Amino acid sequence: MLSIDQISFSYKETDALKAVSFLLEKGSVAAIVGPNGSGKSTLLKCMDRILTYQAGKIHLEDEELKTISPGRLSKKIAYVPQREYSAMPITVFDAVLLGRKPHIKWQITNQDIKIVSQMLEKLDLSEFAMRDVNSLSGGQQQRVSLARALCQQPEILLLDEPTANLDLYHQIEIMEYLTELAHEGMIVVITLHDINLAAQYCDKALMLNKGELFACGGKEIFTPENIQTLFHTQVEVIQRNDRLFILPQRKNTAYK
Amino acid sequence: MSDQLENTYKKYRRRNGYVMIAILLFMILSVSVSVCIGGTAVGWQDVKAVLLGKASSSAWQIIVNLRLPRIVAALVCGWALAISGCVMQIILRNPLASPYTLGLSNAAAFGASLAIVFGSVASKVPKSGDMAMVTNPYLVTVCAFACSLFALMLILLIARSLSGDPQTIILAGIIISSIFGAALSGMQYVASATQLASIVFWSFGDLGHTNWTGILINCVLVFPASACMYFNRWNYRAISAGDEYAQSIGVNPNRTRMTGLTLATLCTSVVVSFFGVIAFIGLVVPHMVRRCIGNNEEFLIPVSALFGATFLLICDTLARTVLSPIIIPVGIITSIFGAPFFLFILLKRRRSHAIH
Repeated sequence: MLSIDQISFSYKETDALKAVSFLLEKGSVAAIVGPNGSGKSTLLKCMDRILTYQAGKIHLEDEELKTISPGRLSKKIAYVPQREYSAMPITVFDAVLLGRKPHIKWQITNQDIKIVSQMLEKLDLSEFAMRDVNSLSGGQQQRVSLARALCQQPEILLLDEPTANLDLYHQIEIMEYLTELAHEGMIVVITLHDINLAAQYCDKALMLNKGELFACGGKEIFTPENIQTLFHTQVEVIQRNDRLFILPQRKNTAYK
Repeated sequence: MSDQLENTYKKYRRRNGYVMIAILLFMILSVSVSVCIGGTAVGWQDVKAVLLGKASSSAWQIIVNLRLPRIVAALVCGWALAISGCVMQIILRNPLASPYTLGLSNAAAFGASLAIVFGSVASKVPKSGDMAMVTNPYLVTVCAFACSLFALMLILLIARSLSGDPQTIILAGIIISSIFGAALSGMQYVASATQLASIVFWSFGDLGHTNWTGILINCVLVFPASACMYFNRWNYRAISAGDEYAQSIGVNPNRTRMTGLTLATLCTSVVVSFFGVIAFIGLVVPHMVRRCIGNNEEFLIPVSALFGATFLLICDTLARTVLSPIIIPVGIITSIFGAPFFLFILLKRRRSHAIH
């Protein structure tokens, strides 16, 4: 269980997060949604202590995050950044092998190589294993980042916009896979711009607005009113067979 | 399928291991050849006699006091420059970084010029009269080392007070480099003709004026620093993937970068202070190695060091034999032979999309 209690964070004078609190259970997918600059990525980074929150507490089971050493924390929580670039060429295999860093003592073992190979196969990356990461498409690179994070064998997986560079097929593929991971007992936290994906896949949604937790709960919080407050856009929410579809309405209907 | 992948990767690692052994053997071969060739011919018999301690005094003099110090100096110097360049490129995430990116060469040259101008250590060579020599090389070395350490301290201070990100550090290096460059020009302006010749000659890089004590001092600094750099190889790979990601796998990016910079610049400072500015090795050797074995720090760091050592030894052997008895400054040879060689590797690998 991950409990976030009154977390606040500010970049110099700008408050990015203001007393945000929520609770995440094992085996759930949580989506953080909100407009640009609402503090989604900041919240995610605080949850992995990439940014050190100035007030509040985060408890992983019974331990406060700040009391866990960085080495031990990296075995529990993995983070997939939004975008990254590598200045030098590096093979997909070596890039994913880096995810084993928290478990490697001095030399890599056959076990590490085995885990990476299996992960590459699982994420459909085997054929690119010895290719340069920079030569892959955006979507393939995204899967490399995910494979690398999963090689950490974490309890909690944090992903910053994992579907941003993906085509429709791979968006669904990744979301299904993340759901599967959650069912195996992992806590998966995702920031998403696509509220439809959030509404389809998450067990819990967190709506952030200007650094504050505006709404938190199940799919029922995706109401036209909530979405309009967040994004200043009128939407229609359609429910069909237990599934929600959010349809934005055009502001100017003069051009058809 | 995943078994196949596992085997492919293991094969790739084994291949890199073989490359490392091959370069090590090539280094040993280069040392053996380098001992035997030079102004005075030395045969295998003499080398064997030296090893058994039964050599004649002239053979002992040539091998132990003249050639071996020069060979070991070339190895240590090449090793230090290549490993520093390799680590600099990784931690600054910049393929154009080299041991001199942070302005160390200018700082050391300024220190040397300070000693040459104010320490009155430059004088004309008595016989030829038109060549300059340094009468107290230790003063020059100490001053060069002190100035490059001072430059390092300035860079660390600037980097720490700003954000500590790679680009800031490189910009700080450019600033330091131009300040010391200007100061060096100033010293050259006030120097006498003999002093000026000494300063210019020092900056060429030369492995000739060395002795076992100097080499020992180099080894004491270079090898423990190299071991530390190798020990940190996973941390370097982590920060090359981005600071935020590094943090998420338990690596402190700023601390890793600062210690890496300190170790690499320490290695460079000590060899530059003793042997002068030898260009090209630190920048290009890591790229040559990267193109042969891929960008895997586990192999890249040690293979760069070994290859740098061998490369400088070959260049120095050429420098003292091509126009014998004239000895060409080794820095000129490293660039003349190294640049086309690197271009050849670049062109050969250009078409291949994959790393291997």
